[in-house]
Order: sequence, then structure tokens, then C-alpha cells
Amino acid sequence: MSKKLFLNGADAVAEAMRQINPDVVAAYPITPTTHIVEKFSKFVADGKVKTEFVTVESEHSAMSACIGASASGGRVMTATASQGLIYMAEALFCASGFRLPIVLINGNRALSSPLSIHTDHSDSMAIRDSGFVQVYAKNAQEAYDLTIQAIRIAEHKDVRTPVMVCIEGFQNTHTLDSVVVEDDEVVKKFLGEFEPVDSLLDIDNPVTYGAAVKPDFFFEIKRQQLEGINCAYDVMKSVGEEFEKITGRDYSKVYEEYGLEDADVAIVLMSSSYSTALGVTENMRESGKKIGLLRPKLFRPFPDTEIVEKLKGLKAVAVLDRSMPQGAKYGPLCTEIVTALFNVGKRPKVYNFIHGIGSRETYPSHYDEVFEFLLSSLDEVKEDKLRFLNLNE
Amino acid sequence: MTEDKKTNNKPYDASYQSMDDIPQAKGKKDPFVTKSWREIDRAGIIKDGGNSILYKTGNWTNKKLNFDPEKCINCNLCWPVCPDNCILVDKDGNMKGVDLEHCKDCGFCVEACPTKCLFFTDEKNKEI
Amino acid sequence: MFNANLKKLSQCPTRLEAGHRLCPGCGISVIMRQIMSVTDNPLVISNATGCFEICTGAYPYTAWNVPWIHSLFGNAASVIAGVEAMHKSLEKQGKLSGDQKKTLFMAVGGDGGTYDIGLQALSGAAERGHKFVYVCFDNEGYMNTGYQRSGATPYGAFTTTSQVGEAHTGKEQFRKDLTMIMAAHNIPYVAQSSPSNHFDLMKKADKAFKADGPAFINCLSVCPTSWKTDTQTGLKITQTAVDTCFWPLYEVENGVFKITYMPKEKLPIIAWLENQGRFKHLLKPENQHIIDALQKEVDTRWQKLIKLEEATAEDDK
Repeated sequence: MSKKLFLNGADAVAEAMRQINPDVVAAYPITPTTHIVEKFSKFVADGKVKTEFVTVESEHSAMSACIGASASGGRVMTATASQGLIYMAEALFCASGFRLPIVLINGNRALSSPLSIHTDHSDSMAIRDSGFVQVYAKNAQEAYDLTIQAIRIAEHKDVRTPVMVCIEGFQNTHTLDSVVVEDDEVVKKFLGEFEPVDSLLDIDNPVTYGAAVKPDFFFEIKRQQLEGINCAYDVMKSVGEEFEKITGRDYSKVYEEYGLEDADVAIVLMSSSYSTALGVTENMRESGKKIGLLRPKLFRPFPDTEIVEKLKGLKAVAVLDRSMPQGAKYGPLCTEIVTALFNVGKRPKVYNFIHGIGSRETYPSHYDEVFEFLLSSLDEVKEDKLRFLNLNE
Repeated sequence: MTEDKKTNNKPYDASYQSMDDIPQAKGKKDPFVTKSWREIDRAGIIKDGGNSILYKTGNWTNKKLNFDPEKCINCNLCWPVCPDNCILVDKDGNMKGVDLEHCKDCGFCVEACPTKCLFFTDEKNKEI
Repeated sequence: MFNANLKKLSQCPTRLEAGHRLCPGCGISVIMRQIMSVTDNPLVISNATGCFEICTGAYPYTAWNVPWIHSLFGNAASVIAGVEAMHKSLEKQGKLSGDQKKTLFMAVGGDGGTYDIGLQALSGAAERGHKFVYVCFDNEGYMNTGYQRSGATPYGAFTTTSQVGEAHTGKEQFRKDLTMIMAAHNIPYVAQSSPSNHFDLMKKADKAFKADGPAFINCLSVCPTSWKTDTQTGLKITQTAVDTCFWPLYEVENGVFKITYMPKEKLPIIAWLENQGRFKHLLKPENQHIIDALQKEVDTRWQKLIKLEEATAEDDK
């Protein structure tokens, strides 16, 4: 029987990890995901999981130990954020290059310097091309659900790519929410047994991982890796459909939308900002404004086909990024959207807004402003420049 | 090399002169072939362990290692110092030659040998 | 008691096949072959980036007949920690066969991947008590990239990043004593050995594999390419380092120091320096002070080792 519990995001993820019951977890504490590691450590101490928990001395070693463990044929998970994610950056590329089905929970937190323990997407965006599948959860429920599905996506024979589940630090990891937690047996059955492939512990069939590859072969190996991550697009949908059958929660789509069927303008954003924006959208639509909302859940591989389908009929779109472009014309999400729309015949005007940097609040009034901006842009096209919400100009 | 040379634990010369003499090389396919990205080893993982045996390193220098079984006393002091697994011993641990397909002529065995039964010759077959 | 019968040891399975690309006269594969020969158990090896991995794992050829993983430069110890953890986990779950349960774990790396960039990972894995053997082949520099100075490069040595010129004369710092650092981790077994004394190394390898926890072996590895030494006498040159007490052979078993080789005659450090091209600038009279400083450091460390042996000797009961 599923239960409805009052959990914060970190606890919801820890609960998912307990039910997944991985063979090895190698993790290092970092704000805001320390609680995941602590909670899981208590499960280990109480014998509630069979996991061998390696309390490594750094995040670089955490991902390295995950690589060694995953290559040895078992389920492996870890959790980190921000500085830790970047510290393990070289190991992330290694994990995806080795095609290991590791699941990493990332608590989105701003990158130093200066130091900030607060929320934005700069950490996961900084390594968006690390070869990890990237999904973004909007709340504790989604973090719980996506963590479980991530195991199936990563281990799928067409994918065999590590998966990063992003949950916003503090805003989601530390805030209490109502989370429906499934029955242990239901989750266990959904995940199935792990099937080791090319394991280092298979002593009868010794494998060599990580030989140096000459130009004669490297390109083909990388092309094959690209195919793997691209397959995650369809696999996420099929796993989501299966998940819906056992939980009743719809994960058949890699995005969430509201009001796009008759909208002229829309806001595109990711993660928890959606929830606040949704309230504003519902109110404004009641007074007849033709507006909509789109939230991609999958960021890597970028679901361009579906995003284009949803946006191409609109007249103007505002993409709200939650990380600084650092010299690029647009933030990462806007860049993906614009790239996806570029070759479409008739397409909307796209405006980029940066919001929520280092947990700078984005109030309902700001979403209101953006929608009004978009609607007025239909009469007179606005200047193509980067805009910021709630910044002290 | 005939059977009677293997009696009385006497050293004998069954050195590998070519890849055909090497038992581990039999049945191994040369992996250096162009492959489509769909068929290439996932993540560059190599599954044919020890296939480097097919890669010839014995032609790196102009020197040639020689083994004189008459002088060999089967002390085995050459075996632990070879970097390339080229000192061949039989199932009793007795000396049976060198792997000339892979010997890089480093000379560790020549240095270690107490009876000088291992020695180099140059391309004119003159002892160095 | 370890049986160092070479005839018997020569029957061990071939873990490292011929056909690897190491330079003629490189000490690394000699060390590895000697160490791996002492056990018939299955081995899994994690290798740090460097000469050894790139020469043995040259896609699509591999010299390895055992499961082997190379990932990054500084993480050989962390990767093997992960492998060992998975092994423990699967064993507890009853998913391993009889042979698989006997698997021994090794992490190997040069001085680059061990003294410097990989020190943190090694230290962490040692502190956590994973059961593995770490083998460092110390050739005293970052050799794979063309001989840059490392924490293991001797005082006064030429390297491409500690060059000899008008203003400076080679490396200006004394080398790290990593074996002592590992002894300070209080792990069950730490040893310093050399492939020029194969009985010493093999005995130590046997103890390391049987240790109930992390074990560390540091071996001096000749690099004729960068040390600019004669290839054939490489192992004799390595032995000279031992006989000058620059590289003493000792072990630390559960905190008890034991010198395992006493040179009949302690040679002056010049005997170690004079056959190597990388030290030839030291033979000039104006650099005598460098040789003197190096001799003093060697003597100080040697005396300290002797005192440690006395201080930690177990009482005869």
C-alpha cells in the first residue's frame, strides 16, 4: 500500500534510495544534500539496506569509487551538489564514457565564488555536457519518483548512461511537502534485478576498462556513447508509462505544460519555479489572457522535437533561466530552446530572463510582469537582450 | 625441437621464433580492424584479455638475444627480471628458451645470468 | 612462511602478457611481474594514468589477462575502493562464486599518481581500511609526459620542470618519504622494496596480499629513458640505490619497523648519482655542495630508520 508522508526533498530521495537498496553508495556530504547521506547512513546502521556505504574523503573519490563499483556489476548511487559536483567533474565524464548506470542526486546550489549555499542551476548547467542524462524535479514527490525511474533509465540496454536527478537545494531539499511513497515490494518489482554486464568481478572473462584509444577508433566509441544518451529520450517516456501504471502518477511525458493549447505567449522554465508560475498562470487565464506554461523535466538529452511541437504555434515565449550565461548570449535553457526553434519555418520570438540566482526570490508579481511583457511584445517587438528578474539594477 | 631434448630436466631451446610458435597467440584475432560505430566495443572495453601477444615488440632493436642451453644451469635467475615475459619455462620450471617475437633486448637477463648462456648478437651475428 | 622457489613461482598464471609498449629496460613490469607471481588468486587491478597504463592498455590491444580498470590520474585507490566495496556487498548477498570470493585487489600507480595527485585518494582508502594492495613504482618523476619533477624526484636532479641553468641547479627540495607517510596511517603492512632484490620484493608482496587490511609497497623503478642510464645495467643501478641507503629496504608490519636488507658496505651517494645522465651536472666541482646536502639527508633518514627499528622492536619474550 502506498503511504502519504510529510517529507522534505532530501528525506524523499533518501526514502527512494532505501527502496532501491543499491549495492554500493559512495558519497561525501555537502550542503544541501548532506541530509540525504545522513539519512541513508542511518538506514545502513539500522540494517534496513544491504548497501555497502563507502564514506569517501572527497567528491572526486566518491564518483571514482562509484565508477569502480559500477564497473564491478551492481547498483550504485551517490548524492552531491555545487562544489562537489564540479570537484568530481572529470570523473563524471569518465563515468559516462565508461557507460556505467550510476544514479547521482544533485541538489542544485550556486557555484562559488563568492560562496553561496543557496539555490540556482549553475552547478548542473556547468557540466550539462558531461554525458549524464539530466532530469529536473519540481518538488519532493517528483524527486522521489524520478530517482526510482532513473535506475531503470540508466540500466536500459539501449541507454547504459549515468543519470543525474536534479532537485533544488533548500527550496526542495529542506522544505516539507506531502509525498506519496510507494510500497517497498512495488518499487522492488518495478526495478527488477540488476544484470551485470562486463563486470570487473567476472574473473573468467577479464575485461580491460580504459585503454588508451587512438584516433582510429575514438570517434566511433564516442558516437556510440551519443546514441546511448539520445535513447534516454524514448526510454524515459516508456519507463514513465510503466511507472504510471503502478502509481497512477503520469510520467509519460518528459515535460509538463499548462494552457498551451490556446496560448499566444508562454513562459518556459524548470524545477520549482513552475509551481509559483502555475498559480499566476491560472489566475491570469481566468481573466481571459491567452498564456501558457511549459516545464521541461528532461534537459539532457534535450527533448527538442516535443518542445518545438509545443512552442512553434506561439507568438512569443519567455525562457526563464536559473543560471548566469557567463558571456553567452542567452542562458543554457534559452540557448536550447532557440536552437531547437531555429530551423522551424514560423516560430515565436524568444526573450530570455535570468531569475532566482543564489535563491533570489521570484515572486508571483514577477511572473505577472513577464506575462504582461510578453503580451505587450505582440504589439511591439521588444529589444533582443538579456533581462533579469528581481535584480537591483 | 624433439621430445628427447625434454628429458632429465635439461634446458633446451624451444624459443619462439615467430608468432606461430606462441600458444597464447593461437586462436586470437587481430583486433586492429576498422569497425562501424554500431559494432565497436562499448566504452572501448577490451574483452579479449592478453591480445597484446599479437603485437610484435621483438623488432624494436637490431640486437638479438641468444640462448645456449648447453651453458644453462636452470638457476631461474633470468625469469623474475624479464619485463616482457620472454623467458620461457616449462611446467617443471626448467628453462626452455626465449620469446624472440617480443624480446626488447633490454639485457636484464643477460646481466642476471651467472653462466652467460644468454647473450646478444648484432645483425652480422657477431656477439656483442 | 613464504616459499621463494623460483621454479614453483614461474608456474603462476600470466597476468601481464608480452606485447606491451613499455620502454626496454623499464623497471615497472619487472616489479609487477614479481609481485603478481606470489599468488594464484584472482586479481582485479586499478591503474592510475601514466606510463604503465598507457603501455599495457593500448586499445584495441590489452596486455592484461585479469580484470583491469584505468580511469583517471589521481583516483586509482578510490576506484579499487569501489570495486572492493562492491565485492563485499555482493559477497554478503551470496552472489559470488567460490573463486570470486578469493579475489585480491590491487591499485597501482607511479610516483606521479601516488605521491602527488593520487595521495588523497590513497590516504582515504587506507584510512577506511579497504582490503587492497597499493603498489607504487617510483621512478622519481612524471615520466610519461617526458620527465617533470614530482614529489619523489631526488634533490638536485635535472627534470624538465627543474632544469639546470644559470640561476638554478635542478630540483631544490628533498623528496617526500611516502613510505613513512603510509606507515603513519597505521595500516597492517607497509614496505619499501626493489626489483633488484626479487626475493625481498616477492616476500613482501606475499605479506601484503595476506594483510588483513590495506597494504602499501613502494618500489624503486629504473627509467633508462629519463634517468639517462644504460639499459642493461638498470637493475644493478637500482641495487646501488639500495646499497647507498638512498632507498633502504624495510617493512612496517603492524607498526613494527624492520630493515630487511643491510648493505654489507654502505656506499657513498655518489655511487648512485654517477651512472645517471640526469645527475651529471652534479659531478661538476661547483655543485659538490648539492651532493653533500643529499648525502647528509640520506644519512639522516637512514639513521632515523635504524632508530625506528630499535624503538618499535617487539620484546623477545
